[in-house]
Amino acid sequence: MSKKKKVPINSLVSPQKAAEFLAKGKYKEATDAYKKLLKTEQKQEWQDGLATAYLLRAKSLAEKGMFKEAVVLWENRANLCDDKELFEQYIHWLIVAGYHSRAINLLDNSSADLSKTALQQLMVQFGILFFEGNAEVINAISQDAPLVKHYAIIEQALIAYYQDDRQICEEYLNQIPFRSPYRDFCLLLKALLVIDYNQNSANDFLLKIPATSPYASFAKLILLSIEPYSIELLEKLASLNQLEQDFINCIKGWDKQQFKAIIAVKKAINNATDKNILEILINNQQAFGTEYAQHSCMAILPSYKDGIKLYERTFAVLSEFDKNRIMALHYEQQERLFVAKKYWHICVEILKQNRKPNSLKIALILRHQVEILKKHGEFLSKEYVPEFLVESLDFDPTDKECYLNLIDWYKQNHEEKDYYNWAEVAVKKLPKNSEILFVAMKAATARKSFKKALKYAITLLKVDPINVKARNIARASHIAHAHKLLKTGKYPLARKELEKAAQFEQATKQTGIIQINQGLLELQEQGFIKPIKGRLSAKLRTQALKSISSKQLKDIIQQHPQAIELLRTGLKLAGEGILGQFQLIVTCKKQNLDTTKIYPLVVESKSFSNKSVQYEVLELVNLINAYVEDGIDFLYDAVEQMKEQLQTIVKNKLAKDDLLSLCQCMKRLEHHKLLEKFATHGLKSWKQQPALIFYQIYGIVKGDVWCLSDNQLDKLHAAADEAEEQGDKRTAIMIATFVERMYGGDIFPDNPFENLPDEVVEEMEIIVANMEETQGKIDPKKMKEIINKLEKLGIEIPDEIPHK
Amino acid sequence: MQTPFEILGVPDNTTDEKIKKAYLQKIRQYPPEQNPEQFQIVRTAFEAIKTQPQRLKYQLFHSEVPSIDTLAEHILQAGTPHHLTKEIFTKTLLDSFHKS
Repeated sequence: MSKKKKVPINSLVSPQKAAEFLAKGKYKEATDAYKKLLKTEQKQEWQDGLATAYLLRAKSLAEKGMFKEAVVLWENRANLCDDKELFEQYIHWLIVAGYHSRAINLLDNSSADLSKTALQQLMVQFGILFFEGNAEVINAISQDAPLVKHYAIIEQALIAYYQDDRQICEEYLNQIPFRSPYRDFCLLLKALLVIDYNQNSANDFLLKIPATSPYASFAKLILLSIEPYSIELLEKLASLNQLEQDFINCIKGWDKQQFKAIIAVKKAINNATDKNILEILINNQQAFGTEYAQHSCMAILPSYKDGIKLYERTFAVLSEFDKNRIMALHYEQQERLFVAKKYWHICVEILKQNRKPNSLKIALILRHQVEILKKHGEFLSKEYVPEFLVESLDFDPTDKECYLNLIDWYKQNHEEKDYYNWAEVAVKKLPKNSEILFVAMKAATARKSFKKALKYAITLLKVDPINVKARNIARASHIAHAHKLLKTGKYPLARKELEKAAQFEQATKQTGIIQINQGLLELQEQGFIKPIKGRLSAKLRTQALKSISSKQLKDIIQQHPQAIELLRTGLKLAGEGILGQFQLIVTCKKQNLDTTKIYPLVVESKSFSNKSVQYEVLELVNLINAYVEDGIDFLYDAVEQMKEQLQTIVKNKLAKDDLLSLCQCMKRLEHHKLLEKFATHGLKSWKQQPALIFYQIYGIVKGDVWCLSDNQLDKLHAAADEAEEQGDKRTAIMIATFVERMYGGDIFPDNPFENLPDEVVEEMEIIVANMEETQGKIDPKKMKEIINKLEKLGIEIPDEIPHK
Repeated sequence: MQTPFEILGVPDNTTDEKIKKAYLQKIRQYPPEQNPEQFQIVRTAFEAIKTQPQRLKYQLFHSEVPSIDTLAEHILQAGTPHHLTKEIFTKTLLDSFHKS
């Protein structure tokens, strides 16, 4: 074996390399390098380098908690230099390394080398050693020193604290002077005294402890117990050692299981699946509390049904009801409503076995299905909504919301007979409920049962005296009754009815309707007008208007002064301009009276439209909408009679929002001509306004999507995009809803059972769910049944399908 | 998210009266002008379970999976503090000092 060639000591290291090690923080390598260099030559520069390397390495080791090693390195450096750099740190390292007497000696002999602050800081550190009962330290320090004298008080305070005697503890702490080495400790103990009931004060005490204090770490640990929840807090807690965990357990009142659960939760924070959450709850049920764990697991099962077995093993076997309830919720979450319905049906059947105590539950399940159907399955709701609601009332007949839903459903679906019937049933069941009375009143008005409407309105006004709608309906009912009486010529009785109607008008908010009706009554009684049979054409109307000469007009006015006065008052109260005119037209139409005979008597022909001001447009729109709600069906004609005035107002420049409201109203009335005209006019001022583009095209094609040209369709798409861009979602949806009519508006575009009858879809969905639940083991009889049904419908079944 | 029962600090099988009492206590603790967010949470919880049918409805149809944050918040809730012994106190204090 050949001998290794001897390498010169400094051959592997250069001064540059040593300096590089130092600069890069490789202190051990730097120390070795400078030592090697110094063996070749005792250069001051290299000695300084070695001293620096010792000092920095000492610091770095102390930061890692290796205080003994830090002490040695600091002392090595002290052999090379006279200065006492990091001297106070050195004493601190001595203290924490357990070299207490050396530290005390140094403090006694070298106090002159230390600043006052450093000295105080070191005293605080010695103070901590007193808690340990360190005899070496206690005996070495003069009995007159504050460190010893104050500790005696602190000891008493601590005894009181351990005995939970807060007041005594606080009294002792108050004896500690501000400049005591135990000042920070006092803050700690004060925080602990209030931490249970005043976390803000505890927080304030702890935050007063400076970050450089030897008590800072302890303060941070206590702060963890009052820190609000965050992921960082969870991470900090999960990283505590056993001693710290025990300490926190005491303060928070936790048991040992708590930290196990904290660590489990922390681990799952970035991977929180339903399965994980269920398992955490089950594995740590003691820490979470069994009741909470069980309740939470139960809530997880609908979205993680595979957890049912684990749940049953841990807590208790689920009842048949709960199993089916979980399955129903599971399929609801998947929006497989037919299957969900099947499970809810089983639930209801189970509950029906003990009907009386379960009545409310049954009703709630049935109503819950309605909510879900309304939310997700519009195409199913037609069949099941009324069925479920009606059935639920068998089990809980006093639920107001259910009646309201049911009545509203029939109303929206134009099933008038059921709408009226259920309004009657509801009001019989809940005769004093203002919401029920209100819908019953509306239903009675809709069926023109004015006596009933009046009865409900009066009852409602007893319950809710300021209900404006009840007042309006009571007034309208009296007026309607007056109209009936007028038809048979019972003028005095009709007059009385109108007087009764007037009682429901607020003195400050008179609408003019009463006066208009009273005026018309007078004219009918005096034989000036009579209800006409059939409709009066526009041509005849114009002729009638023109046919009255000014002399004739004057004579008529003189013959019927009271009636004319009433009509003029009515028109004035109604708003004079288009509002008054509209009220007059509607009132005449309600009684089948020829408006054209009345017009010249009360309206100054030339200036009519000029009297109308723009703000009236919005009020007119509201009025028309209210009449639409009341089911008045001649509004198109009424508007038609006012089209010239309306066009003039629009031409005189209307605010954009008012014009849009007017267009929307025209669309509602399906008055396509006016709609097109208004929108076209608006587009002159607000070019490319998406809603106006839509209204214009809608008017042109008369609301028929199939009449749209390619160009118009493109324009609508562009307008929808523009509306979306402008944040005008309403217009975007309005356009989309219209255009979608062309494509059929499929709710479930991916529905594989599209175009099949509902009952087949229902059955197939249930079979698919069965197959999933039984992992493909389907009852052959059931399979054959469904195949037969499909074949009957003309659906070709592939030969590969089993059981065919 | 906590359950309405937890927010109001009442058991599942409680009564309308107890719920109302707990609600009033909570809104005194979180007045709307000082703590609007917490007040809203308490209010929503109260509205969800204030009557027996509502509680029954909650129990029948509630299937909201508790989030991991809910679990964390629940596990971090304080219990009744234990007596801090001299041993734990001193050991922890010295341990934190030596680690500093």
